[in-house]
Amino acid sequence: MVRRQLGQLEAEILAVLAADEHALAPADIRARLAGEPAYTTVNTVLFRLLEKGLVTRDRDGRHFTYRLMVDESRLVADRMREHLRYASDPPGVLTQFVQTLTSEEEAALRAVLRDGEPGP
Amino acid sequence: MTVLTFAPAFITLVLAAFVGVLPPPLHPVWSARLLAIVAVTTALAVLGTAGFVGVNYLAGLDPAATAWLPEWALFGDDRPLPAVLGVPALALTAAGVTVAAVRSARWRREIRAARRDARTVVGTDEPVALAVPGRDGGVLVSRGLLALLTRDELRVVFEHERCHLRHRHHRYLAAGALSAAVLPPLRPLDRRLRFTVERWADEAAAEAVGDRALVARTIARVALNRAPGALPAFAGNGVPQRVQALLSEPPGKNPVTGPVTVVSTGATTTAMASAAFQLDRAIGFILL
Repeated sequence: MVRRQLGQLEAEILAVLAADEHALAPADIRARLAGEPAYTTVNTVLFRLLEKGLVTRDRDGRHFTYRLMVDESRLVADRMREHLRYASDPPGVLTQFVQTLTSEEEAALRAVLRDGEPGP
Repeated sequence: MTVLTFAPAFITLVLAAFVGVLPPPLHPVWSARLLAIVAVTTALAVLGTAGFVGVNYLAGLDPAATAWLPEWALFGDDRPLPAVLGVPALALTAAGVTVAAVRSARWRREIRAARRDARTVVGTDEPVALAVPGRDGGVLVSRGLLALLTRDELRVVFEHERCHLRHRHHRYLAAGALSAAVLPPLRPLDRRLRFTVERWADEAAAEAVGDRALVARTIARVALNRAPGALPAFAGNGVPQRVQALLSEPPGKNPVTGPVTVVSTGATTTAMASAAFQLDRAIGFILL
């Protein structure tokens, strides 16, 4: 069975945590999620993220508060630059969501957005 | 050796050049498969032919050594091959095998390195998402991306990357890149394959979120927020074309034409590649 990659709720929780500088309690996170999923669901996903090392938590009274684990280290930033180089390498196998645009492509993209956007 | 010796290599090369420039009007799911199959079989047919000619050239240089070779590996007309054919054929074979080995080793290193980082959110403000293949792979995201996009847009990114991972798109890319590295005339085909794989993931994301315009907007926003000119050398990665395609009607699914075209083309080119490797004669030799 293919293990489920970062699921949608995981992504949403990461987004909520990324939007906030402070550590958040599960209840706060839940309040900021669309459709307010069950408290236990949020907790389960948070625990999964913790196991993956994507968030850290601290005890705050009876609860835990969570924050995004961002690897700010110079080393990772350098490695990231390497990955980007590989991912932009035409004969490579890593795929990037989008690659850097050339100036002509940027102009073409803006033109597409201007003319191609379907009306409301 | 006759002109027919070169027929498989020639026919597959012409087909590969053709689909590289004028891809079949199929859903990306099918054209990606078609392009990957054509790339691999063409590279195999050409390398097989070159290797075969090379072996026969060497056999002509040292007739005594031919006793070592199975009968099917020789042309059987006992005429020595001219060096004009033999030497380039040997060089092509050697270069192809070396390039393939070096490239695969490099990719394995890159993927292993990317896997280490797929477990954290990288602290760069550049909006970046990468699909890292493999069992402990995943989606590598940067804090810049998480901060830039809304939740719906983030979902697009994750659905897109999940499609890459689920359908093991790195194998398609590896097949195309290896074929193009071995045979430079296959480069347009490889570029087309890379673009088609991205389109495949875009269409999968559009289907998952049910909003083509949202996918188009997400791609455009991430692309326009990337630092420009960081890697200026790589033109033509097709972001405007991807956005354009998403803003137009969804492509037909080709539930019948897709598989039929892929299977028939695949069968033909595979037969060509096998002929280049003398498999027909080898099998006949084993059976009789």
